[in-house]
Amino acid sequence: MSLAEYAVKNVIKLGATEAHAVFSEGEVLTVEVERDLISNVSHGRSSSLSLATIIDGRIGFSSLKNPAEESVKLLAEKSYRLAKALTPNTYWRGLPDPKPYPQVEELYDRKISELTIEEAIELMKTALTIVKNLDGRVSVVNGALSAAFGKTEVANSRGIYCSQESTIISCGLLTVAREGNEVGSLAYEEYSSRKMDIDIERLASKAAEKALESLRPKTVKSFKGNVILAPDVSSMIFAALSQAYNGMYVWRRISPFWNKMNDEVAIDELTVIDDGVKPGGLASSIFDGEGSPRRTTIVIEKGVLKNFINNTFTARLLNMEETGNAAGLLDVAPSNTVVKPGDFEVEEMIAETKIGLYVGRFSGYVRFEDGLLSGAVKQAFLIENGEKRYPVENCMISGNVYEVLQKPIGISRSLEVKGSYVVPTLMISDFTIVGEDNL
Amino acid sequence: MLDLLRNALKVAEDLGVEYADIRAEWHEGFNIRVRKGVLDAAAISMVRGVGVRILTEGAWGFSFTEKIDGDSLRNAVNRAFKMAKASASVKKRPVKLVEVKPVRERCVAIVVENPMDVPVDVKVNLALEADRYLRRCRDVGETSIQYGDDSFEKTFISSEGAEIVVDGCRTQLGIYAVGVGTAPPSAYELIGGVGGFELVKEDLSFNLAETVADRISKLSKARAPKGGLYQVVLDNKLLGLIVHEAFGHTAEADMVISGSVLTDRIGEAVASEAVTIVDDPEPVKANGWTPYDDEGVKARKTVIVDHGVLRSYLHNRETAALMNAEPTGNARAQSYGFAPLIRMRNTYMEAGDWTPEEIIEDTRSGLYLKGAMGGEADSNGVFTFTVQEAWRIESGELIEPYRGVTVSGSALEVLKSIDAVGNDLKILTPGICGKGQVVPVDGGGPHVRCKLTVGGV
Repeated sequence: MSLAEYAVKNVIKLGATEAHAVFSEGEVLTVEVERDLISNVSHGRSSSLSLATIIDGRIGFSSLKNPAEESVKLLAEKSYRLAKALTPNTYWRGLPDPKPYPQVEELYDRKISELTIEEAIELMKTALTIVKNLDGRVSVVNGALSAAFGKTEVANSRGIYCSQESTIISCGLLTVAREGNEVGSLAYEEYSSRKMDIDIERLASKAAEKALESLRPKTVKSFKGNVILAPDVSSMIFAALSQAYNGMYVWRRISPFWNKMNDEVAIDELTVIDDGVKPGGLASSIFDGEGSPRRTTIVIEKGVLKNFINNTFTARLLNMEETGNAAGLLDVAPSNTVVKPGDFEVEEMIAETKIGLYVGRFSGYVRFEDGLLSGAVKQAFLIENGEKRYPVENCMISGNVYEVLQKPIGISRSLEVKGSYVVPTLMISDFTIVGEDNL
Repeated sequence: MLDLLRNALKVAEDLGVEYADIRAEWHEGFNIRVRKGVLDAAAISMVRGVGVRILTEGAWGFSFTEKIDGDSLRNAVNRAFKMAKASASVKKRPVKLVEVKPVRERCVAIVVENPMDVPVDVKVNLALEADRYLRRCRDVGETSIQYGDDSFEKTFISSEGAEIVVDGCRTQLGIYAVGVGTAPPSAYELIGGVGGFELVKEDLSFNLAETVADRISKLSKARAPKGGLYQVVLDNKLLGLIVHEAFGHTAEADMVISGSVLTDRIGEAVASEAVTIVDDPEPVKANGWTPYDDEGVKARKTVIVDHGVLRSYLHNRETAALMNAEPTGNARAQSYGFAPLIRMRNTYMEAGDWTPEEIIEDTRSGLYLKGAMGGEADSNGVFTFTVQEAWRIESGELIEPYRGVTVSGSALEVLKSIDAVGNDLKILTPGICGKGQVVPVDGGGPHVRCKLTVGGV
């Protein structure tokens, strides 16, 4: 019997009405760099067990590290005592029942779990050499390469038991270019994958090029014009959207989408899918945090809101189907957010822009509650008469995402993977760009 | 426990390492969350583990284990040694550590009411009652209350003979609310720090709920300002965040070495004469309380800027040796699972002599900006923050509230533009700072007046 099942059995024996447990273990190897040098190499193993004890709607969680049978028994007692001392969650409608699980490809690659320290160091060394060789003005402020292996098991008192193994390799480099006394804007380039397919040369070159591009920026005066948002930025808009169609925020009526099912919330060209079973997707898995099967859910189809993402808790409250999006028994989170490609080439977007900004990075917020997008642009370039002119600094953009998505926008044909977001470049017209004006 | 750690250290010494340290930690945490007016759930977490750091042939290696027995610790030491050897093979510049006197000491945080002794129902009732205070306000739609406490003990021993135990507790309560209608405003406040249940007790939490509710009401009818460069008055919290994110990080010696806006500028004027900025491990209750850092260095109050002049960077033992400086006790790790990095503790601006009212009365036209909801900054000091609440100032009076305000600027330009510093120093921005790892920090300052770019419509 697995530890998760053992924990469930113990707490039910004590008198709990329902129980749910998650056991996870993992191993991670990390090579860190600081100021162009390898600064630390580390390795660690970790395991934990989290147990939810439910007594007539009173929900007590307890967790511990390095679980073993004896400590799990004590944890069950502690968890039971905690749940007994609570007031009930009157919205609780019970744990999920077992369902068939999907096949999900490319979650595990043995080459990652078997990566040696020496191989990991060699990859990072290559990255540092490429950055320096490309241009001496660029340095790597810090960065890390990590190779991780993990195993997760979920069990509950309604008969769910599932287990899966996965790997992930990721490398991120934070670079900066200096010229005399001038320090450029920080540039960040990252790659993560479940397969050992990292192209370290490409990653390092991109990190260096991004840092260089931002040298010698100029300020601009305020204007209204096109903004072209690179995938690093558009992913923030889709992250806000994924909160708006999150069943938890819908049920709590924090999301403005709560009464918009089957309404047009965006232009026809926009289709957004929550894909929990995408082969090799960073957020792909066989099951979610409550042990329900992952699946594919079309959330926005041709601009129309078609679904919310739910766990069993919110699905029952909203009288909908759960969509395999449990982040835990009481929380909902998107899996892979995949946007359907559009018709534009990024070059066409630039060529079509009389005056505007290309925004590579954005430091600010996109608030799902009211759609406000506001913040400073980084790695940004002024576009004039269809051409990228020069990097800009001290410049902010603001607008309302929900309004923007209903107006004509350009969606690029090419998509980029940004963590669990697979998103296009977006072109938005008539945006407020705030430069250096005295008021 | 201490004997187990000493035995593990002996294993490292027998391997002939230059230096080794071992950090053992245990935490017992308790959290509750109230949503939709009911208790969602409560959670207990128990965490313990040991991290081993080894310096050999001028290179670092690190490993950790959560299995705490003789064999597992020995394995962790051997793995850290293997990591260091592998790293040494590509090392270009050997690591040197500045000398510090090894100490043996036990430090205990001031905890008046130990949360572990407070019954679960008292904590639950506090959160539910705070929620009721919020919901009394008609303009408030949905709410969320989060209470958390974390009792901990950290033990540090090193091959130089240090044996330090830090025993403490953090207690916090956070309140979030969102308004009603089609484009509702939202507001968030957090109280607490190092200490016990006394930090969040009754009136403290209920007043906080009223502050949040009041903000929602004010912002419900507010619009966004016109964007541009403004004269602004910053409150204690927003200033604290700017001092930490936009300025403090650029003074961390690892950032300085990589090339920050403060590189090679010790002794230069980097801010207006009215500005003195410190990073202080000591303030009672402050969330970044750090009597000794995670390298066993006694943490000391560090004056980064003294009346506008850059005086010191923030160091660990390695950068202090490299830059020929005194160590400041800024090496901090997220947990036993991480090797320490240079991190701030409690960073704030010292008080001046204006009252906050005088600053506003003296402002002909501008904005009063209160509170922040996060943001970020670059190593060149360029920052962006989201402001919770803004007011238009005209002829020294607060005229109209604004929302949806984001501010941006370059830290050094903003610090140079400060022309009034308040006498109301407050350190009340408990938070966590992310720099690859997250650590608890705090910050603040008085009210100040400066110039900033405001994003609007």
